[in-house]
Amino acid sequence: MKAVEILVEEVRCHELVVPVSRLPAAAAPGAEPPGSVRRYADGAAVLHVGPGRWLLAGHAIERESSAVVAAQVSGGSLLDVSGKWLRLCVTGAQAQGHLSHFLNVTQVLHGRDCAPVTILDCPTLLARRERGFELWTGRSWATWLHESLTRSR
Amino acid sequence: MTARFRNPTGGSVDRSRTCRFTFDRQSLRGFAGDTLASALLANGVHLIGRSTKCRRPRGIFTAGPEEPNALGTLDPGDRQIPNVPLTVAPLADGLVFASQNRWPSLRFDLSSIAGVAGARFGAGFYYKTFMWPAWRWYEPLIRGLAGLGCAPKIGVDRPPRERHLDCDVLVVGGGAAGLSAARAAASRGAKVVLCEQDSSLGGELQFETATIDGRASSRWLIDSERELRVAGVELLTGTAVVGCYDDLLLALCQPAGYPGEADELLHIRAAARVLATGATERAIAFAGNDRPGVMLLGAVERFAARFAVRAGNEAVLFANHDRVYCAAQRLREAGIRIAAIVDPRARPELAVLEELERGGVRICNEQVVEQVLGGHRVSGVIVRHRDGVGTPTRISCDVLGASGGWTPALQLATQSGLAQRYDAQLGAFIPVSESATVIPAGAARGKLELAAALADGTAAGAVAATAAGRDAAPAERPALVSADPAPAVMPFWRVVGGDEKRQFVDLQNDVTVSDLRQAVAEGFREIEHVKRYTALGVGTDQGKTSGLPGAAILAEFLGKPLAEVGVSRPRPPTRPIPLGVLAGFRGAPGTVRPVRHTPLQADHVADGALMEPAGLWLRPRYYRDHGESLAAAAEFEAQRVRAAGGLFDASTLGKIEVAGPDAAAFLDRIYLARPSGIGIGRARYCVMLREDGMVLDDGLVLRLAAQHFLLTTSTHAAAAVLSHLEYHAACSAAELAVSCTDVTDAWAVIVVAGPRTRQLLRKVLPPAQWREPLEQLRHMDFHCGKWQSRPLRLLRASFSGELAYELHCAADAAPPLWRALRRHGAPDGVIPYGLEALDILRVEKGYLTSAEINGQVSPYDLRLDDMVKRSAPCIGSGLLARPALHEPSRPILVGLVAADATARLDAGAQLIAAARSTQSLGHVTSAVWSPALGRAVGLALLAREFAAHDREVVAADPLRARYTKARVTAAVHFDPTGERMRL
Repeated sequence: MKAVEILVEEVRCHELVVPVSRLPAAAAPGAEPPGSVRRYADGAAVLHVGPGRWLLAGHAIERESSAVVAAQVSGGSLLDVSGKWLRLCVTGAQAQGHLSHFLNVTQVLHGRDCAPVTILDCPTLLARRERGFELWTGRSWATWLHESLTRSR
Repeated sequence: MTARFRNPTGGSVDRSRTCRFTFDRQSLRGFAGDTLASALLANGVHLIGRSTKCRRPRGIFTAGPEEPNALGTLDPGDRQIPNVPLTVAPLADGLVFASQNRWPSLRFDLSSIAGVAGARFGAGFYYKTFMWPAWRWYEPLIRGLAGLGCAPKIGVDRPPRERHLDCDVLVVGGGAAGLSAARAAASRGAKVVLCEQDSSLGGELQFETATIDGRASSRWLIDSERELRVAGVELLTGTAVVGCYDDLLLALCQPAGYPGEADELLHIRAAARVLATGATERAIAFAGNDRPGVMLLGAVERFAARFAVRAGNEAVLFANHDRVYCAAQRLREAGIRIAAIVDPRARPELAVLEELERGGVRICNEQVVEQVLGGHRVSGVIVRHRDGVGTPTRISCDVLGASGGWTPALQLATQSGLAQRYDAQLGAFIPVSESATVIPAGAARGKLELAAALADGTAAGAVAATAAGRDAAPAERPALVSADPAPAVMPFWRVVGGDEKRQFVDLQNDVTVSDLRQAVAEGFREIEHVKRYTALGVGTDQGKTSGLPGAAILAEFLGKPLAEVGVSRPRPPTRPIPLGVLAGFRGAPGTVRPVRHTPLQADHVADGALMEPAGLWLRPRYYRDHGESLAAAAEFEAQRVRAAGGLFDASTLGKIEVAGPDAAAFLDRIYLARPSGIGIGRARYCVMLREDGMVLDDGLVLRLAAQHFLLTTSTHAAAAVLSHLEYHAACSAAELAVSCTDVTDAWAVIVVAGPRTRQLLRKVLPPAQWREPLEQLRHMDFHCGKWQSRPLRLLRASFSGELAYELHCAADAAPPLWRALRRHGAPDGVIPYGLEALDILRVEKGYLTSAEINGQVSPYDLRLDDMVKRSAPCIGSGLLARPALHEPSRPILVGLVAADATARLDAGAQLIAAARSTQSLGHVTSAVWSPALGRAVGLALLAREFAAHDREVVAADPLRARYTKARVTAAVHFDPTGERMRL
């Protein structure tokens, strides 16, 4: 197993946003608090990135369709943002050690599985995954971020 | 062959590994485990450098990082490392290093002539001299003499690393107290990190002859280190904590002991911190105390114990505490003859004194060292009664070990917010902690006895672990310790009488007792002012050995207690840290800040674009095939757009989707021009104000559905606009149900502009879907559809004044769309154009960018009065009514045309009424050479009272000595009726 591997993937994404004033108790995908991540076997994932804001990756939009509809009825908006996000998968035995060069992973993900962070001045979503981490970043940032993370291994 | 000052046995150097090194071209030898300083002393080399101001000869003074004198340059040459403390840099085979601050050589230094003159100048002389006839007469000489070392010409190949750590308990210091604290915390299950600045653990234990729980201190040290590693404590040697910032500590890991590629900056967050930072031995000021061979007593001991090096063969010891007698015993056992012990106190009741006297050591109580004799090396001292009675005595020696006591290292405690109080018995300030998460321990808290330090460390570790949420545990029994007795320090700072100009307080900056007296005579009273005026403690040693003695002498001259005068406040870093380490990864080329790419980056490069940074984005400035120079290419591209057509990548525009049941009402609060009045499928130019009424940004608002809008922002303001929207959605409009989502990266924007635009789009966009929209779209209409099954929004809008469309397509679909447009457009002469040509086109049309919307203009200044009239109240509109925004001196947007067809206008030039006027009436915001008009044109913000059309003004650029006459015109220079974009 490599010490650190960083792969870039393009993933179909939707963003679900519910105004905080309209956040119902159970209409949104799951009752998990912000910072939670729900993953499916086919790679789909729902990242609860902040109060009233979810990132639905892959086929999560289909899997969470009833929750999404309920959220929209409550005043939420669903946007197809495919192309906005690229996912950098950081895996390997030294994945956390490598990321620790740039931020305090333990502190940031204390009690949660995803969090918005800034890595090398790039706005990013950090998420824990099996055997590593995901860095979701905007397409325009991804090339430089990937090169910089790779160069610093 | 053993160097002549190396003992045949003892120390912790590896005698099986000889290291050859070169100092000032002299070949010498040492052993692995030596520092450069110990190796030099072993070879009898004491003259190491020259002082900063007076160029006086200097030798090794300490044995640690607080060294003020022994700084050298490693590997002299393009990659040299200056200012390396020789007392911490480890010796390696083949090392080459050189002394600093001398010319041409250390022994024969011509620059010391300047130093002789410098010695005549007291404190702050540079504020009073070198002014007549002009500073520039002195500057080259002073620049050549000033400073320490020279920077390398070539940096390291690999930038230093950073690492983020977190733990329950951070222990700073690996001496007795620190090791005890780490063990106590780890035994309670805490995750512990211990940082020790030295290359090995132990602190003073490394050369103390003590027993702890029946074991020699050296054995206890080895056992403790093993136990800590087994307990999972992360032990970081060669790692100094350099700063405390709220809940973050910064530590510098320098395995080599000096800057190198292995350096690492650690960001440490700890629930609790134990500051076992120890105490630094301090100096006494007496005449000639700067001579090579005068060292701190502890340094003489450390060189003997750790490196088996005798700093000299015959020593005089001068100290104000009991430890000097124990030290004398140890030094005698190390082979150094003790000629005399000079102690300003009365004779203490210690059994060891009789033993010393029986061994031939002369004990001089109630006496002081008045003066040191010698040139490049100590040759003897003059000793007299402290009150001046009797006859002074000359005692020969080749090393003088002096100690004024110990100063607890307070830097990190102070940075952590702890207060200090003066301990008169110790003669030092100690930290006062009421915090359970910041706990000073051991010598750092004034516990100088080993038993007290061990117990203090244990207690501190337990408190820290509890503060970190770990379980309490039964108190540990105190260790059984046999060690040096309590030092019984009598505060003693200087020898009264004698030549105060030769009594050095700060060795590195040549600050003497005379300088401090002069500062007081000139009216300085506060320690912070005296520090800066005299340069006391501002060198690389940061006053670790000189700060408290200097403050005490100042207190004496002021007639105030030392507790009232205090010491200067230590700020991070606590030791010098290379800028490259702070830069970290950012030190590598191309990494200072991120670079953002549009989806068309590769296509622009393939098309020969000159890519340049525009903020964080890389954008095409012009295309190299279009001209031999920037100006030629930009003119060509602009002309081609107006004649045929052009393609422009506008993907960097900010794009924000606003949706929700109250989206329209929300946007009415945000913008002038009432977005709720926009029809579905239509766009409107809107302006957003700050809360104070100034324009924040402008852009288009597209209505996608009844309660779904797309906002475009200028590239530079995208983040600020999103922040503005989110703030108001959460605060001033919290009752409205609305969401704002940044989609800048989701959509690429390709602008197609020019008279042949429509026919190009007919070729590229599938007719079944797009023929009708293309024919029917009016200016500011848009249509949503697909291109190659990917979503596409076609907006008819223009920033060039030509018929133009913006194609908003999914980011991943942009490259094939761009290539299709290029392929089909080429036969009609449609070319890509860059930022320079865009600027020409938009200035000709009077369109605004951040050059005009500069954060200081109101909508009235931009001639948007009609928009304000039509608007409902919105954020910022209330303050538009204030009288100051309507004064005649307020700037207003105008156009400028150069009077002379060959003259140029410069953006940034000030506008004045006539060539010799010095009153600015405004400034040129944007200026271009206009191919359409055949002369320079621009936009400007000009005081209203001078803004009448056809008025003549002068655009003044004094820096370039350019004064250009220009005529005030309307902002729109080309096609004022807008016919071309309504084709």
